[in-house]
Amino acid sequence: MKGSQIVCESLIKEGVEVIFGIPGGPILPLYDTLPQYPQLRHILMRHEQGAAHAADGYARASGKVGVCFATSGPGATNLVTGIASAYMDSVPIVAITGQVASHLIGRDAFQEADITGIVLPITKYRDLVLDTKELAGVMKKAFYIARSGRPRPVLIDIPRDVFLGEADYEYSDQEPIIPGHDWPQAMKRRDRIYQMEKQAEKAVTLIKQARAPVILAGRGIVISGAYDELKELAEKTQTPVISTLLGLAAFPQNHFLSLGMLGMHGNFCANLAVSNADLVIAIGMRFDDRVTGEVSEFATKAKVIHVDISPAEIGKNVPVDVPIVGDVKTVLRFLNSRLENQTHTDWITQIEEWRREHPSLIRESEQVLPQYCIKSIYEITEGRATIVTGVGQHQMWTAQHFTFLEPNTLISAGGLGPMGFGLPASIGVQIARPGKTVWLIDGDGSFQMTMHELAVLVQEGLPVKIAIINNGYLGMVRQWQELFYGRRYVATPLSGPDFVKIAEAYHIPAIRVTQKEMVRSAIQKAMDYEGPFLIDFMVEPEENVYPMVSPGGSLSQMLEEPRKEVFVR
Amino acid sequence: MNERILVALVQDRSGVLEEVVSLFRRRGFNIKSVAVGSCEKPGLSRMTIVVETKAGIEQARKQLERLIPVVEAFDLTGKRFASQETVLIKVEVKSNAQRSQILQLVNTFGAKIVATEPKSLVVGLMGEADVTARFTEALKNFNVGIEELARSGLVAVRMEG
Repeated sequence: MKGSQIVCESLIKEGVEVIFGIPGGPILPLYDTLPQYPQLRHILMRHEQGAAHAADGYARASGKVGVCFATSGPGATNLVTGIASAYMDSVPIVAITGQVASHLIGRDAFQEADITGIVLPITKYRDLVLDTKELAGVMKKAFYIARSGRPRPVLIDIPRDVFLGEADYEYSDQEPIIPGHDWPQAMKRRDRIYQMEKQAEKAVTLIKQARAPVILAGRGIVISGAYDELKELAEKTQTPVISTLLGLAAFPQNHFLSLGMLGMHGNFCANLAVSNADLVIAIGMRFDDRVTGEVSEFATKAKVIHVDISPAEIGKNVPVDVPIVGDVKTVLRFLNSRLENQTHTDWITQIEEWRREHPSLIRESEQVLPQYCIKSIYEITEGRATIVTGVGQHQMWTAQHFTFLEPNTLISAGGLGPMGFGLPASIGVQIARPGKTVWLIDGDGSFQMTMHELAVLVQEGLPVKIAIINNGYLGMVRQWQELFYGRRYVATPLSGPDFVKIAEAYHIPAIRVTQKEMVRSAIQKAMDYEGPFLIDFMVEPEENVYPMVSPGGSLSQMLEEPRKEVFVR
Repeated sequence: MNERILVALVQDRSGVLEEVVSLFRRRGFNIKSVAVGSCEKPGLSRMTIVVETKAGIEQARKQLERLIPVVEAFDLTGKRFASQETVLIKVEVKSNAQRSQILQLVNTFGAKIVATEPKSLVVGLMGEADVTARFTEALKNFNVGIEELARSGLVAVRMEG
């Protein structure tokens, strides 16, 4: 069998149905083989960054490994931002890149790049395959590594001649054994279970003693699918749940125990609760600096329990009293089995008081406020949509004003913060969730970084609804310039294009919203239309994201909306 | 700044050294020496890494263990272990008197004459890091010209207890 066929056969064995990619010279033998495998659907993107983000969005929405193809040299290097983002957010993707023929490697051949060297710090594993005989084994290993333990991206670089070479094809049904990295097997070993349970017993003692506990819920809950277990833990112990950005859709945000997001743009009451807690139960999160603020002042009154599948995350940013290494779902089940009903009436009353004093409200205004647009999308979709975002102010407003009700309904790039993530990711999400409502909420700056992918919506018939929160600035950067650089708006005003005309050029219907009265009807119109639809919300240009913790500041010191105007719920 | 010794058992294949070194670079550790070679297990290499660090070595060890080609990694701090390194020094010899002075020093330290040339000697010593350091210092004190100096880097094996 040819190398290119071995790749396709292996993809099918791994349950792959969709590939996002762009062809080019060295990867052509693989593309030439694709028609033999109609069960592999190839989505032609317009830039390889989009292919990586789309594979990422697909992986997050489907829970499967996302796959992208790119050719050698520039094709491969264009993937880098998407791979780095997936790495930061623990998303399993397998990137397959073509490489120049093996006899040309190292000679600066046309479109040659040392991609395995380039992605070394942003992949869990990478391999340059120099022998067709090794291909099947490497493919097996790549998928296993990408999805097991802490999921993360893997890149396989395949020279042109290795695609064309012949080898016997045999695909093992056994999981490969990688010494020191036998996660699934190790997790089932008696000593590991014993170790986990011993640590969890210590956690149970702390939880029973706690008077002011909080749960910090991260993306680990989404990856592990531990929604019910988290809810059970929170309700049983009456512990408020505070989410990271990527943990927002891990717990119903309308639940009375939900305090929303913490961190730089977190809810006032959530940040106060963490700062005053006597116990922090951190689950599947990694204490990112946007979450902790000044780390030496983070949760100083609290003991910390940290549940994570990766031992390397324990104690990395915040000292931990009780580390529990293991799969979140397994650990939570064990904790729930050992815990009894508790109440924390005083603590919850205190938090409710903070919530009343510092409510998350939208200013009464005749202008088109971005928060109002987002809240209206929530109301009209009744929260039954998957929301994809770009990166910037609109992303934070979405986190604050969209009430996530169902598991895994927020797809957003948290760790790397790559502007331009939204549109290509929404393509992957819509493909993973056919027939489901997908809204892309994006900024005019973020959207412009990858808006060429609009072509893919039309080409593939994907009914993504796009809301551009258009303030004519690189808004988050402008906000920092306003607050910390004396309102000197250097290089942040955007003279954007006419997004309605851009959409029309791609045969996508679009509306420009310039008045508050138009907001809801435009959203309704987008919902009623069967295909993709774009709304250009011309919002108040200098609206800021509040509350805010200054960079390097403590979570307990938040800046609130300074304008004194009438607020409504 | 403290010196810490980490020992890692790694897959014997290309790119592994790069991956390990890149990790220490990213975490801001300065590597003093790395010694790699085949070991008692076929297909695996043993790597001894000496790093300068203020803190965070346990974090570095865990990150090291996270790398796919790394089977396991140990921090030898506070543990019993045996270690050796080799230093090779080519010294200029100006007179017979100096030559015999050097030979005396070589004998005292249990070092070896590895090669002789009309105007120079190559001396070598294998020992623990502090011994090789003292030997080098002593040679310098003799006012001989050191033309070349090379260290192998430390290798270490764990001991019981």
